[in-house]
Amino acid sequence: MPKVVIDGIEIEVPPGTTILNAAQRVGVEIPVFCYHPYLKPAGICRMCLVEVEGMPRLLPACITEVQDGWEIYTNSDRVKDAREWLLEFVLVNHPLECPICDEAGECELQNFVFKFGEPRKRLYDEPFKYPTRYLGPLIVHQMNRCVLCRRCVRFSDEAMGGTDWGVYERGYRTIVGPYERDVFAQKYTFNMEALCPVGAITSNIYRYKTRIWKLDFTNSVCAHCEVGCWLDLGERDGQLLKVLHRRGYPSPWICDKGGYGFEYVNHSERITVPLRREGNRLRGVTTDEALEFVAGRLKGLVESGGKVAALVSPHLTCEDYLLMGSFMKEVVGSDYLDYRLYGGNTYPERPAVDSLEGVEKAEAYLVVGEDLSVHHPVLALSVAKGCKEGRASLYLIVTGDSFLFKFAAEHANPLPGKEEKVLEALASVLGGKDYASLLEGTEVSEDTLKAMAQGLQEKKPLIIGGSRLTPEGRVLLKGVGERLGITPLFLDWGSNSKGAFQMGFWSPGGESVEDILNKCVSGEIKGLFVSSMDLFRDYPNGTLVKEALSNLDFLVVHDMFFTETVAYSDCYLPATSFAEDGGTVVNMFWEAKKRNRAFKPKDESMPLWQVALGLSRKWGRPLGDFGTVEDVTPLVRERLSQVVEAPSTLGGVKAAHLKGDIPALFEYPFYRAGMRTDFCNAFVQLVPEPYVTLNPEYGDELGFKNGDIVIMEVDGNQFRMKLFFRDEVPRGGAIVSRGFSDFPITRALKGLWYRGIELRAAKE
Amino acid sequence: MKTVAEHTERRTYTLNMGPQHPSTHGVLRVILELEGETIVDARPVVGYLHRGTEKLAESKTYQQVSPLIDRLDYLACPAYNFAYCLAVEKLLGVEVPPRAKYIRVILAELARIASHLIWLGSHAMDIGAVTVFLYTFREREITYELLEMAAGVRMHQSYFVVGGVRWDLPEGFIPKLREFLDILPSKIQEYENLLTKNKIWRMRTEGLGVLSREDAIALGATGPMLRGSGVEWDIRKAYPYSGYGEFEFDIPTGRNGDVYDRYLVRMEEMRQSRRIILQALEKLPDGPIHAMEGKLYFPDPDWVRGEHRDIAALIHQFKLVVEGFHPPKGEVYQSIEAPKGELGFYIVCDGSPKPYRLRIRLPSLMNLQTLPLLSRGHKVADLVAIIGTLDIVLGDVDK
Repeated sequence: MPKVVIDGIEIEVPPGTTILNAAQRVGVEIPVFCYHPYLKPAGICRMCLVEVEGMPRLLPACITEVQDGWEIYTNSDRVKDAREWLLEFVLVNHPLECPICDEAGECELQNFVFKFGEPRKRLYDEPFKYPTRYLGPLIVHQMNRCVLCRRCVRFSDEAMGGTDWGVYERGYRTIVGPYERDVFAQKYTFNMEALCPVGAITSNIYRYKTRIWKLDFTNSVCAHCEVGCWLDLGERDGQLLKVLHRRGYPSPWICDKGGYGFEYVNHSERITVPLRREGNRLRGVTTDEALEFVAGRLKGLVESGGKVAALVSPHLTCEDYLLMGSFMKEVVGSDYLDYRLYGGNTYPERPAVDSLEGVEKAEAYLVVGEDLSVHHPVLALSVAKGCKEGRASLYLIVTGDSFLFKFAAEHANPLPGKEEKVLEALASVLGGKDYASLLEGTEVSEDTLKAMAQGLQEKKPLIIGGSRLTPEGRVLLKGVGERLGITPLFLDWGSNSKGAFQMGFWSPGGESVEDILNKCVSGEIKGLFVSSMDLFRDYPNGTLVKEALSNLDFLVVHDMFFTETVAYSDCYLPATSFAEDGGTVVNMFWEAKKRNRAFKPKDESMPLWQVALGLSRKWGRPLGDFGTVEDVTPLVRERLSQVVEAPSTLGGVKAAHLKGDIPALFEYPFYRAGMRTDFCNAFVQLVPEPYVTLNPEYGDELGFKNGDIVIMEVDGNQFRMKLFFRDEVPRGGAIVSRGFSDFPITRALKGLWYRGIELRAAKE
Repeated sequence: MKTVAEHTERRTYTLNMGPQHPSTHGVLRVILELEGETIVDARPVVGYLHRGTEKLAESKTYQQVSPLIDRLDYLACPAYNFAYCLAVEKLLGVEVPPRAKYIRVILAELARIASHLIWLGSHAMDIGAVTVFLYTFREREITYELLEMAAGVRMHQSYFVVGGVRWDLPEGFIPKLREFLDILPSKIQEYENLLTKNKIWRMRTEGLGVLSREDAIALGATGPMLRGSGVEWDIRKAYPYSGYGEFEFDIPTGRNGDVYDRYLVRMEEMRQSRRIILQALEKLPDGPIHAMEGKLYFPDPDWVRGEHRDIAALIHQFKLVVEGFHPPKGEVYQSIEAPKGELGFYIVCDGSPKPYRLRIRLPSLMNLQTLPLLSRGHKVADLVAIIGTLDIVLGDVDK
């Protein structure tokens, strides 16, 4: 093991350690611009130059590996001069924008100049000026401020698999940025903004709002998906203004939903007082009145023999599920609870790996039934990491995957609705049985499947079962896993479905949401409590929802905004966002994480557990004495340590109705997935209205052009939408976007996410 | 049965003096235990001007603390700034450039003269010699004008910054200062003519408030209180700072430790201060007035936002305003000879741009401890003279 002396401190390091890493071990600080702990070191910026005894030139510490016996000086006169002069050169063209630059306060250039530079530079000349580019509602690119560290380009290449963000031109005219696009919003752009050491890439959402040191940061967990990335919420005066991702685990990266998808917290349309229906109007009332009213009506319903159900969003905290579940089961005496409002009928299963690190260690991946980059974006990055480095092979059986296919060794792109057929075929191949017949009508070739099977048998894969899988699909996948000796990792919708499941927020009889809604239609369930979700937006059966809600005697909605569901309600209770209450959430690896609240709930907003507590008090059977959410946490913890068995759900979901010419998959665009993203202004700007996508060749065949306006007809319902050509759509199928609360796309669905549609050109 | 003697046993009468009182030099409260007119005990109660300076300093950067320090002894602001800046510079291990050093000495001694002038005026006025007050304020007005020329402000200048002085002396400063120093001896003589051989003055001040050598040292009295009792102790000679070692000056001491002696000591100190200023003016070199340009104090405004704007200067300005400089971790104690006594700053730094703890050793507060001892046995009317001789400023007592 080589021994080196750094600034007089001796240390022994494993071979292959760079000078920078060795210095970090002893606590010696070396300034760096282009180095980032989670990107491969590049040696571009030369800020880390250090002096080594006997070497004629200064060496870059981030890429030079130490040799035995070296004496390294990180603060000698030569090094100091080098840093000073380098900063002088970097500042030559740097604009005098500190007073208006958002990065000021966390700007690495500022910090280095203050520490190592001189207060005056010697060159006076006109700087070369670049235009400012507003690349869409998410980021602003100001090339004037760029120091050409290439962190953004390296991130785009290494982690995102290459987008058109690159370095162009050369010399003093070098420019970094997207080549063709005017809008750059590629799901992980937040990381590029976070990586940029200066204010060249800044957030458009945060622009000019405040200074970074005026924000109070609270630790919390993202509420959009199950990966549960750690966030630091920056709050000032009760407004959530910025979000930072400062921890390197579970992943150093975070997706745009986590980084930019919080604008709904301070949305101007948020309703923060309870409302009660009087005739055709909803009138504002006090919390006391509202809770009294709801408890009274529910009690009346129960006493007259009607049933009550509760449907809540899978994005809430365990405390919410625990207390609401207790209220429903013990006080109301109801058995109809569910959180799977995105559809589907599967319960969470214990994971096969326990962390993203475990995911990254795999030598092969089989991903079935979900575009990971939409619903679990950080997981997609982890899967891509190994593939990018050539360590792992990726096999996809996903309709319309938009990101991972770039890294895939074998990519099966089945027609919408045929993913599980292909999975069955794969099982057959692995079992040595006939599979060709199974592949008919799926648009997947036999060769692809054969190669996939071969590859899977060579290296032990990590099998990831996406959220689209039905219970039958899961069984199939488990079968495949058994053959290969692997337990699959199953993914669910929402960010805390594991928590909801563990807290028991599901019907003991195994009823699905569809069953519950059917019972509402039939009149068996007379009262319904809905929390934090717009059923019309997300539940894949708009017609059933409408019938169910119209037939109810009493509907209570606990939400933040006036959604379509609220329009049917008899009482509206204002909800808090994830930033206003703490609690425990359980992520996809069944890890419990604690959220903290950044500021007090606005006006009369209450988290669900407080609503449950208030209702139980008004009912006359209080659940307990809980002041803050931390009082409920011990009960949650107790429940989390228990083992919960899920009922079998096979045969619960009906097969997809696929009559109609074109089989279509209804899937969320990335910027519309997640919690309440239709109230995030930036995302709404990016994806303002629903659209249909077709494979370019198929679209040509049908006689359409990219950008046409078409009418999509399903069951007599007509939807007027734009048509786009996308390469990732399988030929012969279509992918329709969903997740718009102001467009009734879910009326086209009947319980699952596939539907046969008819497309024709719209007459002008 | 009590005897007549026991009935009429001596009992003390408690009288409250202050905090609002024209002769307590501020908001000082003294609880007097009187036997007739004789003071049995005089207990000072302080805290009426407490503003939490030490605690406030913990939430401000090192440069932002300076205005707080100004307001401790508001009659000799430069001296207090001086001590604080020296303390932080000791922590940083920074030497200020020679020109800044001498400018600081000049202004600190000017502050000493100004402080002693107001001491003399108010002390004499309290005892009854009202005229002296008007005469000394005439001279003090000139010091205000001089300080305004240098710093732009008559009081609370914060003219000294960590690393040097804020800006250079303006053109007319030195001639005006020389003018002042020329007339000063005759003015001091004027005050002496009024007081030193004045029978009433001598009767009221001699033998009053005697502080013995041992008591002075034991109670921690410093400055003229200590030197009036015959102890030859001046920090400018004992631990020279900021170039004081290069100047020739004497330390006046008294013999009896009474009010009269302390009066003579302070009069002589004014003359010695003048001597030091004249020497400093001789030695004043040209050169920079900031150490570590741009790192401790703002760079030249012309470089930041003027014609010769520079991004590097802008960055330094920004970082200094928003964050401040980071001294290395450590603790430091630095004291100087302030006009009222030993002023010391103890700073604990944890590496952040704000002090972790700032502890101020205040001369007036320590000198005030001697009040009960000095006033026992004297009459109430003499108490005013004793308070005057302590030369306390309540900002300095209470921080």
